Amino acid sequence: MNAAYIVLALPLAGALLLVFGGKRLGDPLAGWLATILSFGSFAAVLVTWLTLLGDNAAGNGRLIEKNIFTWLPVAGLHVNFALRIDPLSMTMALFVTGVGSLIHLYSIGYMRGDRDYPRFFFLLNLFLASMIVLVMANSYLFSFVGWEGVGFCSYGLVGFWFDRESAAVAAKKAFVTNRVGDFGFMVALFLMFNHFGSFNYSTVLGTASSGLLGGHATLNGTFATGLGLMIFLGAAGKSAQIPLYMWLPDAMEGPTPVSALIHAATMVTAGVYLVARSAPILHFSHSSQWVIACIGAATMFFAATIACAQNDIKRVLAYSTLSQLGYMFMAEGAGDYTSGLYHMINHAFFKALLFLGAGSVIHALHDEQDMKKMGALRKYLPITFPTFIIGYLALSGIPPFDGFWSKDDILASAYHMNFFLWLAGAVTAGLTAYYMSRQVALVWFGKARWSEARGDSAHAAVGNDPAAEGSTVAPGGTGTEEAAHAPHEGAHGEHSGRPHESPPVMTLPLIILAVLSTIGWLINANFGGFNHLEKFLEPVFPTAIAPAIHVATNTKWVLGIITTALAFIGLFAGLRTWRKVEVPALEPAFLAHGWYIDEALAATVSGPIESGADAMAYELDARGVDGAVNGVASLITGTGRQLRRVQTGYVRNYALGLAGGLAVILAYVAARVGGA
Amino acid sequence: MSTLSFPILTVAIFLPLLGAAVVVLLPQGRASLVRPVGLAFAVAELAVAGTIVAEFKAHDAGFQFVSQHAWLGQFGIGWKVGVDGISLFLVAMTAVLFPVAMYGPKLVGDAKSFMGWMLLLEAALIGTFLAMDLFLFFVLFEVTLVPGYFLIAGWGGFRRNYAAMKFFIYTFAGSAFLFVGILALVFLVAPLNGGRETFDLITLARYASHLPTSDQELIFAAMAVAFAVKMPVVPFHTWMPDAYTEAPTAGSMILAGLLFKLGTYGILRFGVYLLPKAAIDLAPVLLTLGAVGIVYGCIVAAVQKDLKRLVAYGSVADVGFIVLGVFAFTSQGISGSVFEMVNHGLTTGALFFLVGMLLDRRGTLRISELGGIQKSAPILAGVFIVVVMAAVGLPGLNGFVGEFLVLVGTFITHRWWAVVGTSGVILSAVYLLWAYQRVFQGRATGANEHVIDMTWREKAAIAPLIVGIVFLGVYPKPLLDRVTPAVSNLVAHVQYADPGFHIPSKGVGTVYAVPADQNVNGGQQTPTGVQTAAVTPGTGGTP
Amino acid sequence: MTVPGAWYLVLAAILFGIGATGLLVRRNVLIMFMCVELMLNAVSLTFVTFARMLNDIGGQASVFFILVVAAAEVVVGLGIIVAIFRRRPEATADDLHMLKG
Repeated sequence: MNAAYIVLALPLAGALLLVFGGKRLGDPLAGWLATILSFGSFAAVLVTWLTLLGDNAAGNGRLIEKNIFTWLPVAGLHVNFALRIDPLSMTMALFVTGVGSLIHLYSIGYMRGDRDYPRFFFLLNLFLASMIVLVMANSYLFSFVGWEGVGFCSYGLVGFWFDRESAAVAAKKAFVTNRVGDFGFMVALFLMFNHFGSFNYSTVLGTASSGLLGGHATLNGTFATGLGLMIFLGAAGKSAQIPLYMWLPDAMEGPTPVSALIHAATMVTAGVYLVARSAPILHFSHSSQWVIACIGAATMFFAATIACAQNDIKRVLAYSTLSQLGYMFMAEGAGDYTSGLYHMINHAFFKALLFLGAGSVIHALHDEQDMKKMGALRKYLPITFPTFIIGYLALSGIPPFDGFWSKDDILASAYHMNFFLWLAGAVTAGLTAYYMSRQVALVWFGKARWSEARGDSAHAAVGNDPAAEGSTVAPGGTGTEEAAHAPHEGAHGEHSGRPHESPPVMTLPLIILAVLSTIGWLINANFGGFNHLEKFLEPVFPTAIAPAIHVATNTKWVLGIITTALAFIGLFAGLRTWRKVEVPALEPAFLAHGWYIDEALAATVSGPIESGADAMAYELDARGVDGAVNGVASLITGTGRQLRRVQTGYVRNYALGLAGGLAVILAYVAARVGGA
Repeated sequence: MSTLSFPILTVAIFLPLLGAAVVVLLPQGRASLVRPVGLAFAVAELAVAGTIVAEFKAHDAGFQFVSQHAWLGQFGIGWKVGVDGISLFLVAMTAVLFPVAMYGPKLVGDAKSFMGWMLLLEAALIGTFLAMDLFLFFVLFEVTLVPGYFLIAGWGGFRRNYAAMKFFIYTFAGSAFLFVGILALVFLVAPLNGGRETFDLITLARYASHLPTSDQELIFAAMAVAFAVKMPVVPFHTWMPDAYTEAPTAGSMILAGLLFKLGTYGILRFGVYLLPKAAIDLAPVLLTLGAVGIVYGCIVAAVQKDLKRLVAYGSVADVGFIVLGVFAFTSQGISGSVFEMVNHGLTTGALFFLVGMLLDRRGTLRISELGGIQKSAPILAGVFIVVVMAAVGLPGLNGFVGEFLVLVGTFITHRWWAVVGTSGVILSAVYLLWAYQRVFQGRATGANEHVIDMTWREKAAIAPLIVGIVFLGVYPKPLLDRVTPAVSNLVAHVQYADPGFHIPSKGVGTVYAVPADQNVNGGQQTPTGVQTAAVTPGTGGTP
Repeated sequence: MTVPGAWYLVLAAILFGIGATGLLVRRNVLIMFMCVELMLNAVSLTFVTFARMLNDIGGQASVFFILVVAAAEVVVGLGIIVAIFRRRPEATADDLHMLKG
């Protein structure tokens, strides 16, 4: 069990080594160090997991806490940092470190030649450590430490190419939007401490579920709703749900491995994890479950419509991620946590695969991200192409790939909760298949539009010395992905205009993820006793907390067939429309602009806020408050200035004053004497 | 009580004073000796402070190392100094920040008088934190103004005279209220104390709660005004951006990092401790000012055009947190406030240092003229972002611990104030990250393309602050272990003074501790190790 | 025959009045200075008169103080006046208003 410490220690040590010695290690070595430590962490998780499985006989509900140290020892508020090893944290840790390690490996090739290579891997390792803290913490507070840690790493990595204004703005936007969610998380922490006197999962959830197991309510419904909604606000920030979704598409400014790791596979699912963790609390609040389900469903549908009209290869995937996260929240709102988590794992596989594949394409086309300038790439990227197709089918929900199974489960649970939730999910499944088909058709099939689009720059590259080009890392204002990123001269010797397959360090993760996406149904397919995940997670979600959802087998079949049919319809519609030689322009501006929400906010909200703040600083503060202070000062000097006039400097005036004063005194004395 | 046989606290006060005298008396021809000698005294002071921290008994709630000498005895005034958990780390931080400020920033102008003023200021500050006699406190409290004035006026920026004068007069006007308050307290307590006037803190605390409530409230209000100006709390803050902005780098570090702790420390040590009943009665006013200050400071900071002013306004928000925690009257809140005072010293000290480096390199701090500096100065940018994140309250760095404790403590007694305060976590991220983005990120043009990165001297000077920021964030236990007993004692004192004031028991009394490395049965957790916040209810202080 | 005490007092009052009027109306610094002396002497005369009338030596003692003060005043005052006239021979009291606020 002590392997649990190693899980956390390795990436943390990597981050420390890289921050101080990263420069010395240099280009490939820093990456290899980070990757090896990351794989070591994955191995340690495996060991811990196997030990946990073996520990079953002990009958302790599969829960082990490994203490680290006492963090806060204030009277009445005693917080221990410990690692919590239970099925849920292990499930998370396994795929986080697993997928994380693969993406580390991929990055070695992808980031080759970047000026800030060591910084990238420092942040990547720090991210992994924070993510491990997030999922393996024993308390909400310790999870919050990891929660903010991943937020910081995301900030650093989205703004990795900091000399691009857009990247810097996107990084800030991501952090600030997350902070809005964190506000909710923090208020949830306060409520929790106020009510339970602790942040520990064991205490908080134990107190909540003790009543459930005993058949009486331990939490007041209103309190549970408040707490649940605050937790969900935190989760919505991190997992980019409505209304805090806007940072995620912009976060695509980061390098592609970052998008794969943070903004698809792991960090954005932290909200899903948090909500799953809080299942015993949510059980007491039907209304917050409804809110979660509805917001999930809304995000799911909304993001899918936008994804249909994006031209940037990564933005399509980003909106797709939003949409898939919506599915997960819908499942959790419906009380089917296992399916939500199952979909999260599958999504990590296929979405990481798609992002990495997209990265490979971008790499091959020398930092081109516009899908309209791609096409017919299948001949040039013989490894990326088939793996991408597997990811595409998995995301589109085509059996037998893994996305089908988890989506099917989710939709059955949604149907059980409400017909319209199911309907939205089914329609979204069709939309998903459509926009992914559009992407596949534009990138891999059709006519090669890249040769004329990239012709001149490709020619320029032929004549130039690669090293010289590598040193000119001028940022491109056009928004293309890697303008600030030196060409990968180490990875491919000759610079021709021809797209080229990526080096093995980049294709190997693709192959592994493709295999995982294909056999993902082994984890929790709902037939033939394959429901391993469900059985494994049983201690975390006992039926008292998450009642089993019974949907008749016949209904399930019907639902499954309808959804799959919709997916196929979307698939063929997409492929037929977009495989043409002449690319049609079928992107409604309304969708391409994301329902104009960003623009509307910018127009209506930012303006007044900015001028309000300006007024506060320069009118209220400088003129009002400071004006009052300086006003007192000038009142005093003004009075002095007036009084100064008395001081004429003429002796006779002073003498007259003297005489006058004397006369007054005499008169007074005389009056007193006379009066007496 | 003290394990040391000699009066170490008195030494701690006089050592910098001696240093100031030595520096000033150095012969004119040996100008090169001025900085090493001054620094040597500051480092020696650090060693003394280190000894105090090392010898301090962690779980003793009272004053330690108390030393008392006759001084103006006929007026009830004595030289009485002592240190407890609340002041311990303020002293330590003072001792850390001074060598950094004297060594790190580039110094232009007359080094001799600069070092002299700095050491005098250090002596006065240490003395203020240690004083257990109200008269001694007041004298030293006022003495800090003099070096403060000369540091701003002598080495400051373009509008230094205006800023120095405003700083002096504004805070001095506040002090008038403090003086009246102290005298009123002393003379009103005298009849209760057998007709003898005394300025002794402990004696005053014993009798002050027997005064009529209205008297207590008036005295407290007078003190609160003085301390509120010093802190500064909105709306008494406007001297502060001017003073911090115009002061030289070292001056800003000390002014922001330490000088205004006098206000927060003063209100805690003298306001709340002496007059708990009045503090409870007037708490809503101060809590509101604190909560407003958090939001207001952040918003006004966001739109500042000068980086140094931006940092200065950020301090207004930090003060808001400290005030919030103090007037929550919970162990968590007050411990958090004390922690936050130390944090703020480290973080703001480091921020002003970094801003000073930018000023040295670029000659301007107008945000619109800066940009893209991360490219040419990556280490400077890296250190800057660490400090910014500490200020934003990122867990793992010190800022979070203080903010979190304050808010958790406030939430127990004053829920909605805490919620308003929590919005500070969003707003602080907005203004600091926006500033970071505009200054360090984006494309560098002109002079921003060739900014020299941190020099070795600067790295060495800022290292202690960064180590402190990270250490206190990761492992705050050593500090909290020493702060908490004194704070619990204070809370008990407050509760004793006003039995009507009740802290909700949930979350305060019970500790649910998970024993280390133990298999826990599926969430069936029982409360263990019940501990209560209350130490013996009493008038606190020394045994 | 003895002169009644009241006559001395009247004389003193007249002298004081002349001095005070002179001080107020004249511009010449030297004359103003003499007027001050006149007023001082008038006061001295009053003191002496009362000492005699009330048979109290205290009044005469006071006069000694006044004489000393007057002497000192003459020394300082004349010094100042001489210094002024050296620089500006035509100066009147109204020209010397450097103390204007």
